[in-house]
Amino acid sequence: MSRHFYDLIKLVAVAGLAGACDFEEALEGEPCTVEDDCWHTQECARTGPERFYNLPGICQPEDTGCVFGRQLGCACNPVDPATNCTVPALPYNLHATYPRMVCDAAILQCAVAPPEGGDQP
Amino acid sequence: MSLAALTVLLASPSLAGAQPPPVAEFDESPAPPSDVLHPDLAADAPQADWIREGYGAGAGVEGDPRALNRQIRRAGRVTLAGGAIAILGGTLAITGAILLYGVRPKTRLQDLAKDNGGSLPTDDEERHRLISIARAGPVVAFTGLGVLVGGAVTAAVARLRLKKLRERRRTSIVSVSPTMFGHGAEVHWEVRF
Repeated sequence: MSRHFYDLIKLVAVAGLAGACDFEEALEGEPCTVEDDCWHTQECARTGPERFYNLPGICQPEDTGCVFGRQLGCACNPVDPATNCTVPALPYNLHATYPRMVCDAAILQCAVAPPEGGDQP
Repeated sequence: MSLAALTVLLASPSLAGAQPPPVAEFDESPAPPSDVLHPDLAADAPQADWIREGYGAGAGVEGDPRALNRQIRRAGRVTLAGGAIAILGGTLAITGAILLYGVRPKTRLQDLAKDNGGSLPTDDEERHRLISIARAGPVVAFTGLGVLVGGAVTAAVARLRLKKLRERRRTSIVSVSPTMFGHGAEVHWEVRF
């Protein structure tokens, strides 16, 4: 009976640890609008302009902040193609719903790109 | 506690009036030891005819047997309580494992993302429910494990103590030693419990 007892303990311990680790990875990078959309060790990184335009944020590890160069209103680097606001941080299927961005060289933040012809959105 | 020696005098005239038994013609009884103060009374001292039976040491039971019984009952209750707590902890642990591997919140979350075009819906009740289950599962499982181990240890320790207490409480075989002396008889028995 002691052997089954120890087997049960090991099974439950592994199940508990495995369950906790998997979910954090599963939710990272997913869109969110409230904190409950993310894991308890994550935060919903949603910038002010995203709230203004009713756009979702991204589940990120706590105290990480927005995704550099890939979220509206987040800091950017106009020189680096990976962080010059051309590729949103949201999952690919939501790119169509996200406004086109440019990295404003004056304030070094991702801003909504002017529409073709120069009209503001 | 030993019972006080119970003396039963059967048809005994007073010792004062009893006549000493006649001395055998060829008295081969050994000479009285030198420390006998009254040799005449020593001749009337009872001589046990029967062999003392039983294994009682005659020293009596140390301590109050009622206190020992209380300790035994308490140890029994603690053993049962520990077992019940271990069962409760095991149930909790298994419930936690079922939440994780039975409900499978991660798989259902992936299905939810597929149904939503590849990403999870935001501020969704099903998403929040699956996250809550995934968060509660390990907590329930580990809490159950802790309770299971604590209960099992308690039951094991209490059971050991119960066994030792029961071994201490042993009923000795009644020792009976009837004795004939003079014109009377005496029966002495002792029980240890």
